[in-house]
Amino acid sequence: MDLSFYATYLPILAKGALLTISLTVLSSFFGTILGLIAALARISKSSVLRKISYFYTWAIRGTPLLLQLYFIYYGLPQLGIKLDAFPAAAIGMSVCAGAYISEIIRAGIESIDKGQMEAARSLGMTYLQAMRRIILPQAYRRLIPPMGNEIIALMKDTSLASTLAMVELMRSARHIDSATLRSLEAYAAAGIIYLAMTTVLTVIFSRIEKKLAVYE
Amino acid sequence: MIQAENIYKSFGNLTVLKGVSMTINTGEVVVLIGPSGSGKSTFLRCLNGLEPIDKGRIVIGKYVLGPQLKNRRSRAIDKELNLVRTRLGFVFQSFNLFPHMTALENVMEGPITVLRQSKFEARDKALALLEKVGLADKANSYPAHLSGGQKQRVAIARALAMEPEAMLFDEPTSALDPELVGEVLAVIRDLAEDGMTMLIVSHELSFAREVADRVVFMEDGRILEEGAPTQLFAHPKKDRTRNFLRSVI
Ligand SMILES: Nc1ncnc2c1ncn2[C@@H]1O[C@H](COP(=O)(O)OP(=O)(O)OP(=O)(O)O)[C@@H](O)[C@H]1O
Ligand SMILES: [Mg+2]
Repeated sequence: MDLSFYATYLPILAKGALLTISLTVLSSFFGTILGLIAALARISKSSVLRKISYFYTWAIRGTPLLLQLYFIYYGLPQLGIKLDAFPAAAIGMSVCAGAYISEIIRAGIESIDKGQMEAARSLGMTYLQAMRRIILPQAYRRLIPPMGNEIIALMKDTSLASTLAMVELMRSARHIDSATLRSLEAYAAAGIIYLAMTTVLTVIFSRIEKKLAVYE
Repeated sequence: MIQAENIYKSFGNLTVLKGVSMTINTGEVVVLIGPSGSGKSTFLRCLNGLEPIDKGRIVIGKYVLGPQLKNRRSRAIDKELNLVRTRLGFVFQSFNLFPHMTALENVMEGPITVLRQSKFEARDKALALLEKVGLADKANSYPAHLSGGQKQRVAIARALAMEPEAMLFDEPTSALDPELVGEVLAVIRDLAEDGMTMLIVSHELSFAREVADRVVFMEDGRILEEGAPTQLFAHPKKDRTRNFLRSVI
């Protein structure tokens, strides 16, 4: 191990980490929106919406993320849809995260006692008002731990984007490895940065969980 | 005020309501009794549109509910249904308070979200209602920190906050420890004195005798007998009613 090594190469790793973070943030954000829409569709009265949502989660959860990324980046250009590596990775990861998150949200909503919806409806609330004011705020709290796991998994999965010529943290480590042949230092450094980032996420989520526990 | 005509309701091939008709006049207090599974809850849930009916007609003030609600795709019907619900207060056996809101917020929720009242207006009214049910000091408590009797009184205040024209109670005291029943019945008694129109499912016969203008006995999805409490309790016409009354006491 050579410490001066880190002084030279840390900035490269930091740049990679930044890309990892932006991919994680983007795909968590859009994945949550997609997941919420898919979850509401899945429990809606319309059988068409239910089927579309079912198909979406079935197809995405039944295929590897790597394949989905290749499909978007290498496959779609044949249909005339050509995306740069970053948007391709961000879209692929959001769509994938959305499928898993929709299952989390659906389970959360279904875990809320049926009487809550009835009480809300009996006050004259519409279905959407009841969802927004009564059901989702309660489901939200139960969603925090599984969402934390999902987003941590997502952060680690961004390493798959390195195969789309994206120089995120994993790819930066590989560049350093091949340029210096210091494999041990390069991957140890990247590993520590991943650990630091996932630890921060863990702490944030347990904070949120505690804060939301006030009414119990 | 409330008029149900020949209501039929099935779940799958189980017919729960087999032609129930009932009229409740403004200011009247009706207590509905009957054995478990006879369809009392289902009837109440049909009245405020929580369950669509298969046949018959329900008239609530100027609103009419019919079997068309079964395939309720249309927004107009959904809207109509919500209007009906705002006119009827519903109190559940299991309270169904919103656990993520304080007692005060529970009571303010309907007026703010449904009636679009301002926070200040809703708060003043909610505080007055909590006072009325004897819980002014619990305004800022979450349901998890309230006893069953207190929860049910908050639930009653929550329903009253919508200023309903009538109240429906589905066994409001049967989930309560015996020593907490009295405080909830006292609140309902007050409402009766205020002239509130009410339909109450309850097996508290002494309470029924005291507040009810009319007692209705339901069995197996039909109304078997009804009358003033003194008459029905003392001289039931049907054997089934007599057997049931004996089993409750
Ligand atoms: N959503 C539902 N799906 C299927 N069956 C139902 C449903 N709701 C009620 N039932 C059935 O309808 C019948 C009547 O139920 P209901 O709850 O109306 O009776 P009840 O008179 O209120 O009884 P209890 O005194 O036990 O509350 C029961 O056999 C019940 O199992
Ligand atoms: Mg019942």
